[in-house]
Amino acid sequence: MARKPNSSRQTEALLAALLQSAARWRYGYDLSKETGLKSGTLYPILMRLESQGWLETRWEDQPAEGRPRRHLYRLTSRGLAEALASPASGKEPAQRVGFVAAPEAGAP
Amino acid sequence: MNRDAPLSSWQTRLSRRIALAACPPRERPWVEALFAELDVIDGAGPRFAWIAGAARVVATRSGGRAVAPFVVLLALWFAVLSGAISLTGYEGLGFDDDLFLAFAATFGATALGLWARALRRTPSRPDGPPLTPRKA
Repeated sequence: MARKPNSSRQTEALLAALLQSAARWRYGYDLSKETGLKSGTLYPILMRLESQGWLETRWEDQPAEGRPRRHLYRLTSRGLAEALASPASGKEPAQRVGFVAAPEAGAP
Repeated sequence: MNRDAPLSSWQTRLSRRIALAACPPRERPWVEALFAELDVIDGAGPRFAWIAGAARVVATRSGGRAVAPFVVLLALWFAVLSGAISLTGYEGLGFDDDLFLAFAATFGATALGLWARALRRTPSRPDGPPLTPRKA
């Protein structure tokens, strides 16, 4: 039997972290710290989610002086809907998502 | 930026360049993204772990092409190091300086051999049309 896409433990941990503040753009390192995923695991998942249309990405507008621009990640509306439909967290959708409370900030 | 961290140096820049060169163009923004995070990671341990993860991503995405330059550079580095030690005439710990000269020659030959082999090797993802099965 084929497994449901994006249902691995690591992917669900990442989706849960992205759902916590779904409106906010997130940095890769912050997601790594929050989920405990190493970069070698985290980035292939981010790449896959982006190619599936679950994740949108952009480069930060104004990086701190002397440092390169960082990449930012956020769930798309499709990704949000799919993640909310996932039974991973075992909570009601309203409890799973920090979408309403999160500020509509650009970069964190 | 943690400029004192051991990996925020030419090694990081070199690794980034090799990684970018090894990856297909559409994957390069992701490599840039991985290396851009290094500037906010404090401590040699976490930075090393991050780079190791980045190397894993690059090795997977490049089909192993990224590994060859690292091996060549490592062999070259050992060749230079051994050559320098032999030139100083170091003979401590029971080692003769000729031994380091032999190491230098061996590592140098290995690096050149690997380099030549890498240049000769056909690309792992040829751009040409797919082969059609021969008709019987």
